[in-house]
Amino acid sequence: MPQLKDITDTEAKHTLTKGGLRLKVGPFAYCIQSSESVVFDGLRKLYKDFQTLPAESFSDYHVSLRPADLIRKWCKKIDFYFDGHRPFNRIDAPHAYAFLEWGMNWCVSTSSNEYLKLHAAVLSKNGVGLILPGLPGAGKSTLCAALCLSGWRVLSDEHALVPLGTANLAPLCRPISLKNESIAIIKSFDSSTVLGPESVDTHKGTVAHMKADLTADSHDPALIPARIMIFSQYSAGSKLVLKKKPKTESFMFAGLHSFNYSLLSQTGFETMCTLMDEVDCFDLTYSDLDKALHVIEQLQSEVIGS
Amino acid sequence: MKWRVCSLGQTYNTGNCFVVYFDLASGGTHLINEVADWLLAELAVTPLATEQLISRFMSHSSEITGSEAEKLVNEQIQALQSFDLIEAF
Repeated sequence: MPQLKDITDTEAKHTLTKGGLRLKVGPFAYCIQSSESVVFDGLRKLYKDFQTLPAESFSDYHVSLRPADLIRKWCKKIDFYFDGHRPFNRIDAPHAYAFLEWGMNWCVSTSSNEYLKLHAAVLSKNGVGLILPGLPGAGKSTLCAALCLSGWRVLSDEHALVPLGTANLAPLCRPISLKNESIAIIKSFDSSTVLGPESVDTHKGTVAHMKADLTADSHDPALIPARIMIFSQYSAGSKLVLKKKPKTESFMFAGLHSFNYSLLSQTGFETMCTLMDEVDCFDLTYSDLDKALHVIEQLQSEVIGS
Repeated sequence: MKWRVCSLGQTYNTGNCFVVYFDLASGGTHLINEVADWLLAELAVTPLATEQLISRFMSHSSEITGSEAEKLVNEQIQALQSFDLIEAF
């Protein structure tokens, strides 16, 4: 099947507006429908290397962004629909692209329980899977973006998908969500960074998404073994500190920030045990992005050498 | 009065000071220390009184005094009770 970039603007816009544009995203198929130009522009820019799927083919998630009625259209307010339902409050039309990305995350977060899902950025290099769980504001997306621009493959900016009973990671590469100061930090880190539409004054501040499928194997569906788990924390002005974190403590933290650990119950516990057995866990506090990248690179090399 | 486990559980233990305990009945996950883990293992075999637990605990360690053992065991009994992992009867 062609990639999005192989389809003409006219055809892509028509498909997006009418029947829905079907994209293969990791293990999932999304059908996206919207007539908002900002959505078209964002998809065109950030998903151009994603595989499209035939019209009427099966989609895991049917999502659309559109005004509920003519009055909302006139007021430039739109709604996110999932399978015809409206799970969120109405938003301003200029925020449509950011909302699409959040909605696509939400789809995975609330379903797909064939995986243990951790709230984490996930990357790989030389076959070494790296999990970066993080609280909001810990800087995981910034670190993920910097690693991405330094040759690491992004498996996900949001979800560590661990097939049950394994210590593997299922790739789900999508654009990286950057917020506020992170946008300028990443732009200055690499001026060739491809960013999608900027949404100003959202409930998360200013948001822009970064194209993340930068490696030749970005869309390879093969599972990657998880080997490193780093609990990173950006702290302005701090010295870099890397220290081993006990696996039991890491287990609790990862479980607490999982989307479905409790839901999976015993299966979730057993999968987490399997995962924790295979990963080395660390706490990383940093303020200098380059130094943080260097130390993560070293950890990856040590795993390769071990 | 004796103590017994409310249900069976599974543990994740890597040999450091803490153990992850998964309660099969409630689905709750708790980070407990090694003493609590030992207490759960003992009570899973048979219900015991606090004094019996203290006595057994002291027999495992020659370096601990009676009052230290009493304090440790009582603290962990309270913790396990607050997690609903053990109950008195």
